[in-house]
Amino acid sequence: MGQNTRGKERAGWHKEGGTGVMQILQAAFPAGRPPGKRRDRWWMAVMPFYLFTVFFVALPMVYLLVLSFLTRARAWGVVNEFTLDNYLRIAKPVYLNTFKESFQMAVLTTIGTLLAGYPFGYFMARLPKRAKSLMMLLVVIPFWTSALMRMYGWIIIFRSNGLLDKLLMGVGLTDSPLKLLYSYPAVLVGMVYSLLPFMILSVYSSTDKMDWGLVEAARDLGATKWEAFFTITMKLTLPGILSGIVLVFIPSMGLFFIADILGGGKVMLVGNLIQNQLQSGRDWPFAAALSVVLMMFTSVMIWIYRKVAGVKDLEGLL
Amino acid sequence: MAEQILELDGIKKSFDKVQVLRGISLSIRQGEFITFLGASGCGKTTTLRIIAGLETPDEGKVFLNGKDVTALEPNQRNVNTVFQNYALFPHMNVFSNIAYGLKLKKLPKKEIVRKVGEMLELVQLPGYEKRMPFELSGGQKQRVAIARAVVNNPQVLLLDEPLGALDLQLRRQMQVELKRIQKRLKITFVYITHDQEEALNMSDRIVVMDNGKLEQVGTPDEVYYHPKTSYAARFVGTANILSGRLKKVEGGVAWVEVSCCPQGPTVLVPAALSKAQAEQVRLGQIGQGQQVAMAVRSENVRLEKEGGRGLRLLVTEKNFAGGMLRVFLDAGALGELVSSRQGMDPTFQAGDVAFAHWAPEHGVLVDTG
Repeated sequence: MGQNTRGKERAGWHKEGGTGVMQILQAAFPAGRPPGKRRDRWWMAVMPFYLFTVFFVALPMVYLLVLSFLTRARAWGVVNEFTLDNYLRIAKPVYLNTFKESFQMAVLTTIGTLLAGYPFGYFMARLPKRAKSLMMLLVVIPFWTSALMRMYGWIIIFRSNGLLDKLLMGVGLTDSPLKLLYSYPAVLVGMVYSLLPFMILSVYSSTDKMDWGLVEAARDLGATKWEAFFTITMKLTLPGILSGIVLVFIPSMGLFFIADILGGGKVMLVGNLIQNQLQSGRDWPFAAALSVVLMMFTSVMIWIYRKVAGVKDLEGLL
Repeated sequence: MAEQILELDGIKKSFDKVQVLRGISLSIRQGEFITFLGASGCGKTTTLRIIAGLETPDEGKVFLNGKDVTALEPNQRNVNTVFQNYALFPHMNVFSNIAYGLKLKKLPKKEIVRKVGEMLELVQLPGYEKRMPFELSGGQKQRVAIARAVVNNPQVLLLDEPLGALDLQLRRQMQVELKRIQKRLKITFVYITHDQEEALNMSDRIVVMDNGKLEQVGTPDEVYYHPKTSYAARFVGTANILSGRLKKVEGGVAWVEVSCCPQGPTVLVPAALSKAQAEQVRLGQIGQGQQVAMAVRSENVRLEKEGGRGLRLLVTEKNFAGGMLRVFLDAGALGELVSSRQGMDPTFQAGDVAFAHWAPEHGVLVDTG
């Protein structure tokens, strides 16, 4: 064990708490090989992962990038003619506005998941062990059904004279249907709903690691419950908050089907725009350019996250 | 007698129906260094947490400076704790850790800087303000934890096995230092340990605890030389415990009849009576024929060759460690008897017969109730 650990550190493989490729390899090929040989041959074990990455991540990206500089064919497909028009088109107010709206939606979604997910994850981590695993199950179960299906579920709730209207009218809070379906709030609720588990699990995992003795120490030193929460608990669960923010923010920039189903075409996000260009517009190069810009934008967000959280690699996300 | 700073009155506490504290009552004087000594699970940490306000007792009251603080939150008591695992805030540097309590009190920045500097001076870590906890050694973390608690000028400082995680050499050094800090600041220390040496070295008074009860409260000398119970005798200084029947009392010495030995007949062993016990004998509370136990420390058990006085026993083992020779003797139904002395001694080997005896003043009558 000792030797193994040292080897990992030398090769720069050891990253605490990560679940990356190297950790999986470590588990699959534990120590016990002669130390001389393992150094020469370890790349052979890594090869499949590299090949996978090259074929399914790197090459599609290159294709996307190349595509974004080509010209749209008149009828269908692409002409091999270099152009910057696709990118220049994005600068048009109508498209910039879509980016702005998406960003706004992503920010609101993130705030929504944070407000609902932080207390949820926090209290979940403080439950007794059995209740904890039950809660975990309940949080994860929605992943077992199609996200599309769950969105249709929201239609039943939101539609005119639907469940929500009936409930609110029954209680007497309102006397006419709210017409929530196909509105901005409906899309927002759908977004928050689908991305909430990521926030909950991120907050949960960092809260679960908390040493509650530190909170006791703070209380002992004169902190009220709230002071101890803001100076100790929140600071120490910040990595969970930040990774939750990234895990929610980035997908919420690109998600399109929620806006489609619950927004009824009234809410246009970048994801919808790309989908439209790709399918109905048949403008692949423009869709590719939009994707590249979106990707660059999210990369900048991750870069900022790494600066703020001081995390060196993306494994720190989870 | 000095002023009482802390008083525990009939504290009881259970966790999940298991009674951890069975009625703890104790008065602690201003400026005293008092040590709770006991094996793990005896309830000493729970007692400390109740004083700190981190637990609420089921029954009983805690008085701080004459004021009932039982229902007060930890932050409302002028008591600070040095935790077993230090509990330094990992996201704050040494300065912010020590300044934590002062910042909550909204002291002016200048004063905080001055006080933290003074504290670092006191714990001999000047210039360490910017270090993070993970950059510190165990001993340094300990010093920061002490500084962080002491800087708030608590009426009582609680220390929960603060030296438990340190190696022996560092522990000895920190014992001296803690004592120095305590003398200089004149703060009342309530100290928890399972290490009898630590307790005997540092304390003004020792509280021996077992199974949620106070076994004995006294100065190190009292607890060492006049243990009240066989538990206290065994826990402090490893004494031999012999139980038997009280045969007679003569001139302040109780003679206890024990039967243990292979040769059959019972033997009388002496134990001096304390003043209180002599009084009990006079009042007839301790009488002839009563079941009692007596304790004698291994260093006071003398061994003689064939034809000697006292208990005739078989030597089972010899062990030499730390300049002390320990001779283990088989005492039959009474268990094992240990005799120790400085330096080597070739007289006895395993398998030899030895006669064990001791001077009456070295025997102590225990478990008399």
